[in-house]
Amino acid sequence: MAEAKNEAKMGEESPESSDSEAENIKQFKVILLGNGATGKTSLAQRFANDQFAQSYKQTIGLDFFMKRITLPGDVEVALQIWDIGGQSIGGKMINNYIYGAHACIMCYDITNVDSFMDLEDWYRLVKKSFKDEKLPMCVLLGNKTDLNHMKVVKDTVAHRFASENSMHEHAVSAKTGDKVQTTFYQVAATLSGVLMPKAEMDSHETVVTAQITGYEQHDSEVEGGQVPEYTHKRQSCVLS
Amino acid sequence: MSANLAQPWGFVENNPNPSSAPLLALSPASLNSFHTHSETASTSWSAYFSSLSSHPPPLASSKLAGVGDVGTAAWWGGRAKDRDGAVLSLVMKVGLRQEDRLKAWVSWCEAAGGIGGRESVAAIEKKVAASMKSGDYGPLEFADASLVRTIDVDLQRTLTDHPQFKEGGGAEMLKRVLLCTALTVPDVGYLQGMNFLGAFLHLTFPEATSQELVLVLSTMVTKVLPGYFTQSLPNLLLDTDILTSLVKATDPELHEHMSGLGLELTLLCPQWFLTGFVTGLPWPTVLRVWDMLLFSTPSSTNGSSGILLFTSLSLLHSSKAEIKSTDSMCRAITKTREVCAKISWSKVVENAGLSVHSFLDIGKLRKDIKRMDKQRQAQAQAAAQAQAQAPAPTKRARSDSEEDSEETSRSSLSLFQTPMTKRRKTALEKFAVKNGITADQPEGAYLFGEKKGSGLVDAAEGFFNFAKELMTPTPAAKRGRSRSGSGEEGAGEELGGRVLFDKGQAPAAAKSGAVKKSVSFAESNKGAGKVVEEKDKENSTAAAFMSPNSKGFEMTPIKSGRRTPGTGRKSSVKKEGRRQQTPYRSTHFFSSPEPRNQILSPVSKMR
Repeated sequence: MAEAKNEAKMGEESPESSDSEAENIKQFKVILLGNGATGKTSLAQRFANDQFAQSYKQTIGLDFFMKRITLPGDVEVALQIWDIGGQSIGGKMINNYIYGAHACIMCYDITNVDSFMDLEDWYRLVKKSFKDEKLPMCVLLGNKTDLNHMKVVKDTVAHRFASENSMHEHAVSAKTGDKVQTTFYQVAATLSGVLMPKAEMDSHETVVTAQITGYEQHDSEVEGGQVPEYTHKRQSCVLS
Repeated sequence: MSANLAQPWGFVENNPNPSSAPLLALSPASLNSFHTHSETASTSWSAYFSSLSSHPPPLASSKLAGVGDVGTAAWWGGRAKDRDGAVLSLVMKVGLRQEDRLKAWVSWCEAAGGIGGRESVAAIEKKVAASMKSGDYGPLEFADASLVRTIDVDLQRTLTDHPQFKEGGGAEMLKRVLLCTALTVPDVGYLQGMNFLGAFLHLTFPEATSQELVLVLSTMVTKVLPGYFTQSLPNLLLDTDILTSLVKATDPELHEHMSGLGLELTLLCPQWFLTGFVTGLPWPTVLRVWDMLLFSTPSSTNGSSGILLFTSLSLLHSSKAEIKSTDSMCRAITKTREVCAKISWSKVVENAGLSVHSFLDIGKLRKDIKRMDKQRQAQAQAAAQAQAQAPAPTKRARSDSEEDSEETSRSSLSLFQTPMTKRRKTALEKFAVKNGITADQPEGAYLFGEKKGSGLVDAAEGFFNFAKELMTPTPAAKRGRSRSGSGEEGAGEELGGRVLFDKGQAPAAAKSGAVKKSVSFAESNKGAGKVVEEKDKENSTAAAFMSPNSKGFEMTPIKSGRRTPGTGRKSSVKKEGRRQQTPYRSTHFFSSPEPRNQILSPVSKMR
């Protein structure tokens, strides 16, 4: 039942309802942090509009995305997603962006070691911005699971980083949409203190339609920068 | 919870990539429409050039007047140094002609100096071309090892929808330009935002060689936007600060509403400033802004800041209706970006005109800013004292951005791209010496990490001078007026881009209305919001009185006795008489704070 409602809400995109219902809805600021080109904008877009832009654009400064979702027990929450440009933000400005966040999603690219290593610095920035206050909920998010064959960040390493800093851990693909909804629902549920049974969680997973394209990896040092032969074929496959 | 959480955000669910819209403006179709736009520019420049050959104007006496033929590269370079009043006013009022633009920009950039000139760029380009061919970037000896990779990553996400970058040679050209620029200005190297500047240049001048583009881009990142392309973005923060105080001073209501929404300018400005408005405004508008930015290069440090601030302030005023009508920060930002994506330069000027109107008294604003600055300094001092008094773990407790970068430098945070190492510090110092930046200038203070409060006042000064210059009649306008009297069909009016109302021209009713308004404003200096509304009405009245051949004008100063509050309205007639005797006044709009008493009324027609 709850699911049916969710679907309607998600498809509807009704801005006019915001004014009347705004007071009853919990709103959360969720920030996406991480190096450039880890796919933060794509994640936000996938979650908010269920799209993946094949040709992508760099974020300078930041962009916003907003989405309202319904959790079990008819709890409505709104997630305001701050998509922060991977570079070009220095010093004090980043503090303004981070300050007041309820959740920090720390993104890395599973095919790029640097993007994972640098999360430590990003995390330090978060801790610094919050100084003495309670840290927001932190999520470690590995993106680009569709490129699992090029994965270079080991699970054990990621697990350790997550548990050391008591972060939740997820692996998603913004491109296929795999686990993206689940992750954000989980964040929303945790923030609003709603228990989310596993079955409920899985119900938000959509059927993944993947398109295989000639995607070139960023890291030329991995596997000699070779792009596997089969990625040159363009075709679709459906996982269910 | 944080302050802005108390505010309802509203819902902007359907904003697929809100900032992507202006990029669509960078298409061949918009270039065509741009060419029709520039008709006014064409006629104005032709008129100006022919006036040069027929009756030599006073600029012939200046030392650089003899340089080359009219309109050649050498001539443009000379004009830039000469700061000739007529050229300046044409650049500001009608913009360059597209056919002159590349020539003029490149010559201005060369005149600005500091980047070694064409020969050194050519040498660099040879090396880069060889490296790109072989794929081995080692010989280029970049200080930052990850530079090439960063550029490659960014190229994959720079206007990839555009045909020129999708299939054409755009990406390769851009890579060459960015690599050459990184070598030409090693202190800057490459930072995000430069890819958009480069892409914009390449699309604007498809015929230009990479050498020319490198010259312009290098000047842009070192001279026009100094302190923007460094890892801690000192000038970006500074200018954002000033812009905030300008908003506060010009429209307190707007400022209050924005702070209520939690809409800080740091959320809006980086996109504008770091890409020179390329990703925010329509193409023709960006060209107009860049015309002035580049014209300002040889001169002061504050000129470009003034233009940026002027434009941004006006953009905020242009979208204030949208900002005020929403109680959601998300939507306010999206709406602002939507407004900006469509705005024409004449609208920018017009709306900034309103904003200048709404406070009129620049002196007062100056005082306000000085006061704010003192407060900032006091706060900084208090903080410093508190730190000094704090016991042992002071090292940990420091939280300034500079310390930030030092602390993170050990761990190669790619956020800051090039951490503040010793090598970089030396490079910065060299850079400062080469560009004549000393530690007491705002850039210097920020470059060297010693924040000085005076920076705020200085940079605000740039804004005042620019705003004043744009709002004041120019020699060309006056010459045009006298000539149109002798039957030259208003060519001169177009030349200057503005008209003075003659006593006979402006009907008595309008005049008395205007006088009444100004008096009422003088009485109630606080009610800025209300005044703005009144000015709106007044604007439409003023527009109605525009003469038919005045389309294409941006501003219509009313020369009669409307004065800043407190200075009275005396001697306007006398003043006019004096002005006519001296058709050329000094136009050092980036540096001379010479007070002007005219109060101007913007007019809303520009086709």
